[in-house]
Amino acid sequence: MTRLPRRPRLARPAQAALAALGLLTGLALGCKGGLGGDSCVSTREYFADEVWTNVMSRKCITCHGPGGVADAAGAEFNLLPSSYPGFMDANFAEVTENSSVAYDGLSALLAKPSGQTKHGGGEVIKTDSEEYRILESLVKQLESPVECSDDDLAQLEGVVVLSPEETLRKASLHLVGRLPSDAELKEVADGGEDALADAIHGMLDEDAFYDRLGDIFNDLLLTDRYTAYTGFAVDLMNDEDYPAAGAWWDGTDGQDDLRLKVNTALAREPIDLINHIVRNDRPFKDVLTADYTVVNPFSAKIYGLSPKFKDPNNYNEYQEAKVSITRDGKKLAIAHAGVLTTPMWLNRFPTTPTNRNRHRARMVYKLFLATDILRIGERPIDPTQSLDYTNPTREDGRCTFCHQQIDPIAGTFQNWDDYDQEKLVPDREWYPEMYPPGFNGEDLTKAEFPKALQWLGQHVVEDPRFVVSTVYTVYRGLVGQEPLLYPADPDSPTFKTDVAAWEAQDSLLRKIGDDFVAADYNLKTIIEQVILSPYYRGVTTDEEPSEDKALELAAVGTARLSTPELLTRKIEAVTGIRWLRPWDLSEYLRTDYKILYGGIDSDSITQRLGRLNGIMASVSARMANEVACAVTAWDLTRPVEKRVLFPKVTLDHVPLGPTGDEIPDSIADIKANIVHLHERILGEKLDLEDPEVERTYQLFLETWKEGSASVTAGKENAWLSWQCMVRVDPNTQVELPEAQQFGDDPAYVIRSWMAVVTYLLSDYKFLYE
Amino acid sequence: MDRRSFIKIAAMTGLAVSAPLGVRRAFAQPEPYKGPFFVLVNASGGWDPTYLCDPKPKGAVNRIYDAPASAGKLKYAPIPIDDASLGLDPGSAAYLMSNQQFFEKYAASLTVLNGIDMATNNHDGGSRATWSGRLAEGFPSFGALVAASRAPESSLAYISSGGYDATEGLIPLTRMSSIDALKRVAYPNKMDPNDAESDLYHSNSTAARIRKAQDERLAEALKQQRLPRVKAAMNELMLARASDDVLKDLVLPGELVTLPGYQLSDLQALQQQVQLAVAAFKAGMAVAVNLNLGGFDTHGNHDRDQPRQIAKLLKGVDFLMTEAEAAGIAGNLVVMIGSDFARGPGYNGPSEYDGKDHWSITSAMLMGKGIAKGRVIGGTTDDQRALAIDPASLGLKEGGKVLKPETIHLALRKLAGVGDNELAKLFPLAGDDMPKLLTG
Repeated sequence: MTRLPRRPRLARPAQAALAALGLLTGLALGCKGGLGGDSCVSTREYFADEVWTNVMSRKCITCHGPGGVADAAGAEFNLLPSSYPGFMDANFAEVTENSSVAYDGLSALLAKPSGQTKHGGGEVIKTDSEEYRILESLVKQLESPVECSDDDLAQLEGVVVLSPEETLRKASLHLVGRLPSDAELKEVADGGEDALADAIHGMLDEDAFYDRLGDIFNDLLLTDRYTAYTGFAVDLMNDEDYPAAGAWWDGTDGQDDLRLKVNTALAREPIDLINHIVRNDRPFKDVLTADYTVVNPFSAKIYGLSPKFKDPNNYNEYQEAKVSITRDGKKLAIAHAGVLTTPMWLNRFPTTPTNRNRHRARMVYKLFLATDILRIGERPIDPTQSLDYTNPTREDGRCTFCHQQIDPIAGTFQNWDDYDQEKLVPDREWYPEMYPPGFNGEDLTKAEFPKALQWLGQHVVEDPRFVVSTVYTVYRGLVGQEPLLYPADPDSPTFKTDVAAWEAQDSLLRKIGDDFVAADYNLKTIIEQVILSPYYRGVTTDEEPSEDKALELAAVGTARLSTPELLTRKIEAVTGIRWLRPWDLSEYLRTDYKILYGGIDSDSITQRLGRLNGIMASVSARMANEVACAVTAWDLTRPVEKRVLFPKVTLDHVPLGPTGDEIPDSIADIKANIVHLHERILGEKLDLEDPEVERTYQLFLETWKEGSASVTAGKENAWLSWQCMVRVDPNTQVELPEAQQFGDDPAYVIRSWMAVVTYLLSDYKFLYE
Repeated sequence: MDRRSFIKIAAMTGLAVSAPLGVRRAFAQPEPYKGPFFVLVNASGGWDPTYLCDPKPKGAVNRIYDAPASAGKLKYAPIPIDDASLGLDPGSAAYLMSNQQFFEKYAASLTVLNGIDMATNNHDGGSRATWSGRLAEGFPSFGALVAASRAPESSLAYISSGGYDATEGLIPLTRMSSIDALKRVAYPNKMDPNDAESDLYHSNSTAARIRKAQDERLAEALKQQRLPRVKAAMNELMLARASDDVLKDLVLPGELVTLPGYQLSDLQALQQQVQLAVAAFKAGMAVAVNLNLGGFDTHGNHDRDQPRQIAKLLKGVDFLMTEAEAAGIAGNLVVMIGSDFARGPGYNGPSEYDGKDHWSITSAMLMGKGIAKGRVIGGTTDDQRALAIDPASLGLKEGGKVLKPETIHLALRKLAGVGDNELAKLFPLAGDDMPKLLTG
């Protein structure tokens, strides 16, 4: 396996152990101009802060941007607006290039806008203006650019981040749905940040990680739509090319299960291809360039393939394969282009005879180039004027702006049918009135048409925006929020702080992108580095931030509401049981409560809810009650070495004696178990004397006092409710032997612990990451 | 930190802004919201007003009906609906509502706005402009704005089933689905939510004790927290928990509507959205609800698919009014029906299977509390160009003003009583002020 380059080190070693919520300790990050930092301003920063903000975004972009007068006139100096990913780097490069051109010894950057040489726009900046002075300063700097030491976290002064052990717990639950092992914890405790990076890297080899990665990429591709029922995906396949998509399983043993597996394998083919690429440390470029797909024993049959599987019944065994179809007795090979040629991607983003693949082109921009073409093209227009043109998409400036970007990509999908989305249509005549097939100004030759999507994939992955897009996708998946957009309104009172927030994040994400490229596009690099960043690890600040500082830090911090899928895994990881529907063993948060809890169905609901509403709070309340009910007696009555929640107490541990006197040893054990529960469920290490331990103990004590008195008085039962008794294995619902069944709670100990477990399972630190 | 800065942070973090950071209004239950209730019905994909409320003579624009029909002062497109013409299984059309049926029933209640210039023909921008009043990004949908303004303490005030529902951090968004699941979460401490005598997971006093400990712990954590994003998330949890008991008043329908066959599944979903919306309004939970029906992007097969989706849309609206009437809230309802933009002005080909492409001049229909009844404002030419109106008299006037989304939303905000409030000022609209546009 290729060893990945080391993550970038945090800007400073541990500065101080700071209390977060009185419970967490962490690292305070260094700062520019503080904590030993410097006040270096690089030329690129000067360009971003002064030249772009005060001059070019105001004076130049209108004409020199896409669709502008200068652009239309073929000017050599072209700028990108802030809606383009990577616009700042691209513009800085353009300006650097332009600055080196001189007219009578004066840089074009000064001569043109001031009208001292021929400029289509005439004089737009006066030589005695502040704008001119800023440009002068830039030109001077560009003669010998200032570069500063690479301190990605400079803007994040005073942010306290999770310690390595705490980060390990968070990452472990998130990536692989389990708590870290004792060995991992020890290694990280001893080895600090370096050991943490190693531990995270190790997790990326676990099968469970690929469940999570699949979730992240399904949020993008939405192909899980076709897992909705057992025939959704297979029914879409045309049986002319894929005759095995018929019901060949009918009459076989376990036909329903078989059909489900076949359908799932087909529906998840794009996701499984991505997982295959990442698992095998392939360059992530393969997501668009792989000249193969992956099949398991079940999807192989759909394609009429019979690769040698080690275990033909193993759903999780994947092999690379090349698909071909038979037409008129002749074999036609599919020219695979990663996910783009998978049947479910083509169906999920369909076309029509009049749409002509433009929707697909838009999705290529959105999913793989971090470019929302509609946003870029969005400005008030009067489309009704287009009626004056015979072919407005190529003649009317209101239309060409977008269509010259969209239509060439659309043309590269020409080999796929307009009605039967996954059906290959070779040798099709494309529309001559549209912009010719291509990408970024480069056209395909006719000879390349049969493999047009392969051509597209190879060109898209070489675009810098592919890297930006991939970093954004991982960031979104792990941090749970959108990367910041460059602030659009320079007149906004918060513009400066907004820019500072954007620059801090953009700087880090660009650095991660550079490392991703240096690691031969290994996606694991991005995952590791996002996890190690303060955007994933920030827990508080070392002092109350000023208003401006608060705005700068608005995107920082570990405050992501767990998705239904993440919470499902977390429940099992910490309690040892799953929150299940008893009748079919489906997890509630993946079925009944998925949408209510803000999840997606990959069909009509495709945006996750990142903010808790009242119904979601009620779902979490029910979860806490039901899980506490199912797990408390179950765990308390298991052999002590098997208990995960109650290793330090028994059913005989009560806080007070018959006369109401405290039982010190018993109280100590109860509190020790409370400390254990706080660590196990919430990840916080507390002393016995911690006020939070006392708060939890008081909940236990008061519940026990009231409940035991009620039992004694005959107001409450001495046994548990039916659902909370130990009758079945909570994970299988299989009835237990009678000797293991248990339901008595005369001392009210079980119900008191149930209250504690409910309390902890509904805590902020459990529901949020 | 002032409120503007706070809202800015919340917008960036996507977290709660309904209450100031670190301050919660005494953990009090929000009062049930009594109305008015706002329903925003989105015809997703771009509808064709010439086949609905802005009819045209037969010709290049209209290939289906002979001439416009009238109901009161309103004109409409008299398109017959039957299974065959709509490509539906036998018997399906009976579940839909024709334009004639709709306008004969509701014309006297409607204000129709024709000739709205969306200034775009892209879906995202059009949808955004229709429901926020601004083409550019960054403004909340009207539903989010009115919900956050009228019931800031409720984290359930804005329910969406789709369409443009950006909240810009003003208020959380809520989705509702399965009745059984909703019943269970309405009573999280009851083992069997269908049994009034059900066992409880915790005695009432223990449940209260747990809640008190939760609140105290969270308040303590919030007090110590300084990072805005984390603070906002904690604040959000507090607000969400405060709304728990509101669900107790949610009287859910016995069962959700089911319609036969796959072809009506979208109408079935719309009617189910209506059932849950009305239940939420009646329980005092919700201020605004987005309803959504797709299938209007008829670049192909326009003459079959567009009338079919319109007939579904109208049935959905009729079902909404009927359910609202039965729930006793019809008089307190404000309904706006709109789409991304329009289609046209002609067909994209000569074949009966051809469609209509995007067109920026569209229409909207409103009815309900405060909406002037039986009126048409604005208009279009026979080739679907917008006609200007006089901002004062609202009559057609050459050289006047063309209706724009900004103008409509200014009027809508006024109607909802949120035009001048603090939140609305954060999202100022630049449209022409036509105070009588909706109210007459």
